Amino acid sequence: MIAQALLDGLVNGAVIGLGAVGVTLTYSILRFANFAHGELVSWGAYFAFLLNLALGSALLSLGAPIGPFSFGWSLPIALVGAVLLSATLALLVDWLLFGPLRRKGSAVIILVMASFGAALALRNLLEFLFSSAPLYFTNALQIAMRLPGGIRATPDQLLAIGIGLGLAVALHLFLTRTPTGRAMRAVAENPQLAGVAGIDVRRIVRTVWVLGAGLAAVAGTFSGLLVQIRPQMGLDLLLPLFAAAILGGIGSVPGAMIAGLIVGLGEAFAVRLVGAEWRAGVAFVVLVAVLLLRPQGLFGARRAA
Amino acid sequence: MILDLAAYLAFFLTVALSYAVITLGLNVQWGQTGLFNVGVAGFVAVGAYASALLTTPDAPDRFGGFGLPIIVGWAGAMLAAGLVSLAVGALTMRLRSDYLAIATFGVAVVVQLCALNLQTVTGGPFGIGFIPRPFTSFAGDPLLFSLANLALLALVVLALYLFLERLLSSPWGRVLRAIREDEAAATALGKPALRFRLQAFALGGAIMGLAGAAQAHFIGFIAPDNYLPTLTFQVWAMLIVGGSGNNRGAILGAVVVWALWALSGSVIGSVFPAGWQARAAALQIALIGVGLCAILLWRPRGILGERRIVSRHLVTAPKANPSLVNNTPPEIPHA
Amino acid sequence: MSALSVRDLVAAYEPDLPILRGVSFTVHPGELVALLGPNGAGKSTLVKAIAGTAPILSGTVQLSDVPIEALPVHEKLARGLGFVPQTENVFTSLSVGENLQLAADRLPKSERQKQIAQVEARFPDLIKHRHHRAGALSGGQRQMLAIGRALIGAPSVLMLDEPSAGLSPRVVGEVFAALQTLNRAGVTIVLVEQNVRAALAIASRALILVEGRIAHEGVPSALLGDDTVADLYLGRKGHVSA
Repeated sequence: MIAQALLDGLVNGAVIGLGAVGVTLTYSILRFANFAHGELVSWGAYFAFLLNLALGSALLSLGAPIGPFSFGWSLPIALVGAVLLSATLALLVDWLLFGPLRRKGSAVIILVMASFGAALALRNLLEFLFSSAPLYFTNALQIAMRLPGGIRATPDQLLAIGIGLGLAVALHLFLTRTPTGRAMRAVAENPQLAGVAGIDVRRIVRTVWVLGAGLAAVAGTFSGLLVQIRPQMGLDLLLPLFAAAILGGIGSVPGAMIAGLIVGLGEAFAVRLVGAEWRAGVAFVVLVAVLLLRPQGLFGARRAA
Repeated sequence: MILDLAAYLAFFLTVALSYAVITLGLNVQWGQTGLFNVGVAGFVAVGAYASALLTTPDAPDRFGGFGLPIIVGWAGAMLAAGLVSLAVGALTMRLRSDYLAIATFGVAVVVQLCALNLQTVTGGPFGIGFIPRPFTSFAGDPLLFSLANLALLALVVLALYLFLERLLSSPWGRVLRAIREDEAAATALGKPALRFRLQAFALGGAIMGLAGAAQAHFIGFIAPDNYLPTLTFQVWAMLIVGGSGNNRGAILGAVVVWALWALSGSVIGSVFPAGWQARAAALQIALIGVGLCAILLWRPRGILGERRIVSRHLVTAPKANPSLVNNTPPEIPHA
Repeated sequence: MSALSVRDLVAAYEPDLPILRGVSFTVHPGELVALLGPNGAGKSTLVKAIAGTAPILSGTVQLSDVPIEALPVHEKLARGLGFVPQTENVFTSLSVGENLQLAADRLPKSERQKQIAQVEARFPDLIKHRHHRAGALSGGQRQMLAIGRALIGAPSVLMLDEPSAGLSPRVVGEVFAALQTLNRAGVTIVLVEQNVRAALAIASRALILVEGRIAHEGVPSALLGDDTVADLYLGRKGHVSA
């Protein structure tokens, strides 16, 4: 059953990895731990849910499942919309809250605190609007496929792994090969010098919010598709996201994805070895271990330490 | 009728004062030292459970129940929460300032997890009952009972207030302030800044543990649900409203915010239909979140303002250029 | 026409603690102006304020007769201002090639390679390190990379904040020779320096900043000839700064 735990871990880890990539990007460029990142995950999932529902009921053909998957074309379209809406939400919060605080020259910890307040407001607003009852993209039960080695996996799960790895690779290429990616790495290292080198730092800040929130929306949608959609889903993911971002090394996209998979695998094995009720403790154990042994993370620059 | 009202008022104030104790603890960590604790509920819970285990009568279905006197329970609560704080602080204090925040958040998650799952110690989701309450001999007279409890908590708050004020004007407090205002100078003077911060964080945690124990013995019953993140948020709101760095403000903030909380809770209770109560409660918390952000934006020194001490973290200095991302704090060396 | 014109500049990090208290000067095209003065006089703050990394309270800054003081940092660069900060002036986690590419990215596509090639021709050392991390360069190489980065886009004025800081005398000589070559090729330069002798050796004119104001101004020989000035701010024989 080790093989099955591996697969479950990878599926779970792909979702954590996607979120952690967003955390690591925003953390390295905005320079504070954003406690509201989990809420971008939840809002992304709810945006996708609403759009999917609207599209599915407007055009029934869009709701018909694509191939082996549990969802119709309405979901990919809804996901694109959710990415855009989440990005807009993140930009709005930055415009209202973080931007003014940055301009005042507030200390890092004030920004952390503001993100904490924003998280509180965003999460409870979701609970107010949708109640705490879980929602599902589809009520259809998906039949798991049998894979070699006696592993069972649904097509949706395999898709989550594929999309997670694909997006991480794409983002890594974006950061290393494109002008905007270069500029992002420059701002992450030294925002003051970046301005002097001709980079519009405010544009890079907006870019990183769009990317971080977009990835959060993808993570939220997959989490909703594979498990369920709840207002607390982002809060529950927050510790794994932070643990993975720090384990991967702040600023490292491949690091965050790999660390996300590690945390996901850790959770899957913990579920089998210790019991499902202890799952949430795995991220804390990972966090303590990395802070104790290698605070700069697996792939981190010296700066992160 | 008037007696009922008086009893309710005494009850209300007792709860508010128990929050004031937590807020005083947070003030030592944040207001005086600038250490951000996102897991307040976890430290309060550690204190509550420690004291409950030490003082409840022996229970056959779980570990402990040592039947010790309440005062031993309170001491144990402070010790347990202080030690947990010490461990978290030692783990993260050398690192970036927000790593401590992340780690304390993790502590709250794990404490919650343990409270729920370590059935044989914590009683699981149902918690621990039959926690001895002080003044049980007055239990027949609700008013007298409430007043006695109120007096006890008022005494705790007063003692704590005097202790903290003295401590802050002592050499220890002066060093702490020096570290906060200018870490480079403090370190150069040969005062190991890390140790002082660690001590302050542990002290703050111990005070939160004491508050947890006091609440547990006042109510007589604890369960994991009492220590959800909402508690952390409430305490933060209390400190921010009172003005961090200010002990009197912390106490007043606790009473004011608890009053607002109770009042808005009862308004929501009467305005919203029964099916919407849970959602209305969520709205209440959402508003606290918005309020917290608004205060950070417009009144960073709290509504009552700071007395005497201005936290380095709340001072806003004009920085190089508005287009730049927030300046890197000095403790992060650039590669 | 002036290359750079500063009028009544007041700059401060704390509103009631101005570091510059009304600085005015003009730099003409083709000049190499050395900005000298005792420690704490505000030399670094002056170039930072002009570049936009220190806050300006009042006053104007004109680049080629166009006001730029209100523009964001990167816009000033686009208008033709080059700036080499004193420390942390290259992106250590990026490769040498990326450091140059980064500065060229804001230019039209057709210009990018040409500008990079020009800089690399000027500092051939950078070519063989193109794929190395800038953090692995020696102090002198870093300074060349920082200057090269600032030259991309052919700025009308190049400002340098103590390029000799932390370098060995031999390397300082190389850096200053490079600056002189640049200046002879027509680049207008404003140079903040503690190393007074090296700066005066290549400067066409010098400004002496004292307590946030320009106290003296003149060609190097005249300033060195003025006993009071030489004693107070240039050090006897002009090789020690006050």
